[in-house]
Amino acid sequence: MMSNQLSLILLPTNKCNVACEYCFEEKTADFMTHDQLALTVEKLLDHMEHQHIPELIIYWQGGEVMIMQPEWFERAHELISAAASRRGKKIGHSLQSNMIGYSAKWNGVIREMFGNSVGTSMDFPNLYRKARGHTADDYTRIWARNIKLAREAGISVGVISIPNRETLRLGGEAFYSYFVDELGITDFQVNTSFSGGEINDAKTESILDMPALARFFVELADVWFERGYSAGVKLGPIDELLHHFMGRVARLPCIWQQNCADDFVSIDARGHVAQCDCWVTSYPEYRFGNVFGAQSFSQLMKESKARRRFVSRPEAMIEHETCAGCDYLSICHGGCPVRAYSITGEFLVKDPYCEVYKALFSRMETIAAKLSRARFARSLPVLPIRGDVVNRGTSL
Amino acid sequence: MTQEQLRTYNVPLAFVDLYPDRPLIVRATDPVALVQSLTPQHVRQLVSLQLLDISADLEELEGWNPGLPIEVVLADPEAETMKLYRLCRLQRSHPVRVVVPIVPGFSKAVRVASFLQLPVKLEGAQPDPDLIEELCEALDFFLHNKAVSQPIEYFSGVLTTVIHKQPVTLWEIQEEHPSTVRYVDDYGVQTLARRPFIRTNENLDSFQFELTKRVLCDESECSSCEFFLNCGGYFKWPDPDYSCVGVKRVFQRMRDAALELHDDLSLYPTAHTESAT
Repeated sequence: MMSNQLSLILLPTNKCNVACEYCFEEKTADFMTHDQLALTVEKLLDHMEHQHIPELIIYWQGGEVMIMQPEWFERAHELISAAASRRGKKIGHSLQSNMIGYSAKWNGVIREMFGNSVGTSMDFPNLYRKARGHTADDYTRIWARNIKLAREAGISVGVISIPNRETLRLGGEAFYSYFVDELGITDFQVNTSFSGGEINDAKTESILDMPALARFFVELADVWFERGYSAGVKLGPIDELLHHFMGRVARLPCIWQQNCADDFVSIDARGHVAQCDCWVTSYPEYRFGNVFGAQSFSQLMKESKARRRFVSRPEAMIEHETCAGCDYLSICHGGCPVRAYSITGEFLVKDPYCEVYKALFSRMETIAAKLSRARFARSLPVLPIRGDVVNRGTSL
Repeated sequence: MTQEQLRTYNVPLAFVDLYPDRPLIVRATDPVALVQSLTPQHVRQLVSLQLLDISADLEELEGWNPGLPIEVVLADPEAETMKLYRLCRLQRSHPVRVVVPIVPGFSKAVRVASFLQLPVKLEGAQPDPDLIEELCEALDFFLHNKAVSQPIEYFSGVLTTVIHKQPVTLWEIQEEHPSTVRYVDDYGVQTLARRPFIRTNENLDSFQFELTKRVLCDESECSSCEFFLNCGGYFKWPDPDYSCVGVKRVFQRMRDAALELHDDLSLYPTAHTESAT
């Protein structure tokens, strides 16, 4: 049996302190109050009891979470912990911030509530992340400074990065070197872009040539395996794919879950509920309902027609797409709905990054096979043949 | 305890009270009816549930008696393949196995079920030549696709018994031996617990003995069959004249694979395992 856990992507504010050109969110000035948070948590705990779910992980995002004050989070942590304890449930927390508003005053709450870990985002090179009235270089400089400060304070920093046209031109080696050698980051993840929300030039050009992107991912996988694998550098989803193809437990990203509707839900600062942060502010027609006004969260989820579309999406991939015949169905399941919808305008079609994923899967499968063969050979007995000792080992 | 007391009965929900204190597989189409009808006493008798309609709303079962095994029986495997995704949530609270009848197009369901980490049981009495080809394809998929991590019976069972040289036949592998399991049809009549679930005039208590005696008579196909010890005359029912030429191909492949695997394993003088994390 698989584990049973609910993941909530919670936006305590829809407001942001920067203006990244390719952002998929429709920003508003809304903030969630502690009363609204307490109400939300109680309804979620009711839902967990109803669904026999023992554990909830809250992924705190925005907007930008560091627009709120650390004191707000300290109080939030207290009231969530007390509510979870009353119900015998476990609630964990994860923080995603652009780190532009970071200062030492956040260290306490990051340590106490978020296990001294924070996730952030940066591209190489940075083309679209900008503060209002400032350049991308300004943004990068502030971000790099704050990351350095956070790491000096003992905070573990993970980075999500989205390749752009310049990334492809510079190649995997330069990309890897920037994060690992220049910034000292040893835990990062590469995502693919999608043109969510209101369309603009940056969003349009952020959708890259798929074959070129596939080549980039394959090259990056090779660079990581050559330089990072043995050194313990985590590069998602590449490292997790290697685990998967070696038959180990792997934590693959949400885009490749059997059905993301079974695991994730998002709530924004106005109480709107949707599949994830990619949908909740930008696509009102795909919202499941509003948690503040709903009688119960379970009922909201059960009765939502929009949610039913998400739940049934993998079935459509099997019925209408070529996914049933794909050897990678077991790790992809048709991919990400928001990438499909935002890029093609269709919901019940497979993820347009299909060919990119398959190229990466194939490369990681090959690397895993080589690695497994080498390990297998090393573990074999040395067999004497014709008086000689033959080493059956295979080197990579 | 007597053999009869130990025997498992596969009964429709309506007959659940007719077999007190017996191990039961209870089958139904409606999960709500199962949850509402079965008492804690019934639950103590349950070996597993059989759900006969994959289109039913499974939410009722998700939190009900977690850990209780559930078999979901497909009626039209090819058409219902996409619905296998509905079992993903159920699989978190229950061991779930998909029962796939061997009918044209069944291998698509086998493939997707395996990709969803769902164990599979193939059910079918006497496959015709077209189905033999599809069976061979499904077997190749089971043997060679790296994503397959769950058993596909009877492939898995035969492979294991050949590797370990165990005297176990398809009747046991398929959990259809009449001495240990009986199917009670919708009219309350006990039959063999295997497709096509038709009534037989033979005495079920002596069925296996009589079948073995019959199929091993002089000049019979079984008497000279190298796979009889793994098969037990399984394919000579219901039609005793069924030709096993096709199924022998399937068995030959399974045995070749088992021997190859046995040779590979013998290279390992001691067990080598890696941590799962």
